[in-house]
Amino acid sequence: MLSVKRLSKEMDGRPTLCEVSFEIEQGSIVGLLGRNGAGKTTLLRTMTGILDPEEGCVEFEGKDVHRFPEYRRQFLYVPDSTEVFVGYTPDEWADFYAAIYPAFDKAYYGQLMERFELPRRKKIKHFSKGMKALTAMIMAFSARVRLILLDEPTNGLDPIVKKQVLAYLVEEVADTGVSLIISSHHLEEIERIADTVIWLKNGRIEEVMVLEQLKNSLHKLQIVFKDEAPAALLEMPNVRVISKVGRVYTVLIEESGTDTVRLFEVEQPLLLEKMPIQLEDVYVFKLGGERHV
Amino acid sequence: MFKHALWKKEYRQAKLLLWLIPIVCLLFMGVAQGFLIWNWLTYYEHTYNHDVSAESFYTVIDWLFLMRNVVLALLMVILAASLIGVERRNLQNDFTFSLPFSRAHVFLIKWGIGVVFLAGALLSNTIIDVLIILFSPFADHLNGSYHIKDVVFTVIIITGIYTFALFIGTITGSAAAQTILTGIFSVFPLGFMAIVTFFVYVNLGRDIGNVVHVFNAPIFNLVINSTLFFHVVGGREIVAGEYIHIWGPLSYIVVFLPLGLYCYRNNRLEYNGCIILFPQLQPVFKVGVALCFALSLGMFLTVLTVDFDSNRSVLLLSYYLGFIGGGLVTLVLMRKIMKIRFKV
Repeated sequence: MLSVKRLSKEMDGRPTLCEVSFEIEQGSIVGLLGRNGAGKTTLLRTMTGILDPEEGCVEFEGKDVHRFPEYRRQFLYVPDSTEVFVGYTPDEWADFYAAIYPAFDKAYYGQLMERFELPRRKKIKHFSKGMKALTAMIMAFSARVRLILLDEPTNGLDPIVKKQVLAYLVEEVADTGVSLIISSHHLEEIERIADTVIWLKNGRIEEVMVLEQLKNSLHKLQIVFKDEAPAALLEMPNVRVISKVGRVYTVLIEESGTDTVRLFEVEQPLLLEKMPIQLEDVYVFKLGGERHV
Repeated sequence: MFKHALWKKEYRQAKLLLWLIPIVCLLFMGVAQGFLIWNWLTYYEHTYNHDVSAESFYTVIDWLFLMRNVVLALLMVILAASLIGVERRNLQNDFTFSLPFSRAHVFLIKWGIGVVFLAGALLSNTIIDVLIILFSPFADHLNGSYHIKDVVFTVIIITGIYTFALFIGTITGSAAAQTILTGIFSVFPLGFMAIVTFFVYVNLGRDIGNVVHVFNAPIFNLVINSTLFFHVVGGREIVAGEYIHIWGPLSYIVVFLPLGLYCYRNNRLEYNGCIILFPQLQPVFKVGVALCFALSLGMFLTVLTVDFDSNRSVLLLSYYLGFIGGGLVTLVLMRKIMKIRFKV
């Protein structure tokens, strides 16, 4: 559906995106992860035509969206701020979108506003941050586009609204088949909803991961050794120690089978416990231990 | 459908300024003219028992229209800044460029909305003006061609300035830079000619009389015609014995509308806040500003400190002290200023 092909972008003479390539299929939720300054927002802004790439292109069904802006009718960018619409009421915002996106579903918009108990004739500037975020998403989903790009959609939201927003996103994808790209640095949120994760580091794609596959190929163990920890085991290329507290080691092992896990069992440790894999573990294993994104 | 959305967006963004255009026209045309006719001219005729001639009648109206043009020109420059420059300092620019419209289309609608309001305001207020005259004791003085010319010329002149201000907006990164540079370039041809003429005078040792003679030369007419400021303050006036032709502002529309389209299509948002958006233009701008300041400061220092009858070497020394000093200081300052990201 949407292909990003060897996209490169410079900001202030500094490369911000370097040959970024990936594809997004219909009905998928793609998490765009990376540390602050990794290039997430620049990537989204370049994909939506706000910024012009130095090299490469973004194609929607084979058409370059920078050269053929009318193809951008099929996707919509939701920035992390609704500043542009502060002077609008939701109804005015909906009217405006209806004039831009031909498939805008006003009835659906009405239903969603009612469901989330959001006022339709009150100016957006009087809304709380959570209400603004929800309204922006309702508008995007009511536009009936095929792809929505969300930049930090849960930034600054309280945990209850955050949960509500995330649940709503998953529900929409399941019901309508819309695709989502969500940029975030909150691993736990992406883990809950994304099926694919794109890691960005210094403007480059470090990894594109299909989460289920990845979780099956990674093992997390908590081990307490009787004596000295076996250095040969801990230094194996597919093993990474992610923490050590006293004699308690937490290690990540990458393998599709359980051969390396067995090697640890052979050492007869005092404790060897398998732990559930989380996205943060994947991040630590793949990107080398930088825990804060 | 699509066009409708974009018109709506631009209208919403600048509706206050857009509605000020007909209000300004109404104040300087219908309201001021009605006041003038009923409170001044009628009073004058009754008091002095003397008929106001058609010529005098239109001379007074000319002054009103001159003031209207100045206010309209300022308003249109501010409108252009609000549609392009102000947009650059907030997320509005991101939003505009993310919409499924070509940037050329966006630019044309920004241009179109201003021109439609301007032409509409002038036309409707001219009809009001004509009706006021027709129903006044001066109905006999009504000169239809004067009013038609006024509408046509004013639309062209003010559109010329508006087009130019929008174009400047496409190469500058902030509203302040857009407004200031539009102001400077509106008087630039004449100002530049003055400093170059003085440079020629000092360096070639020409008699000042010969230099002044340049003001009667055809080049002076060309410079006047390409100086937007003169068209605003005297679109229908006689300047230096020559009629100011309308081709000056017309050529601004013909040249700067396509140029603005090109620059708006190719401007890059990552440079928003810089004085000049295009990196390749930045050194040209820097050197150009330094050169103009060098020429100006050379001229001012000479005029302020040296007697024109003094020895030529004294003249040259004073001139080049100002020229080199002014040029170097400007270059250093420009280097710093060009690095700043302006938020206004």
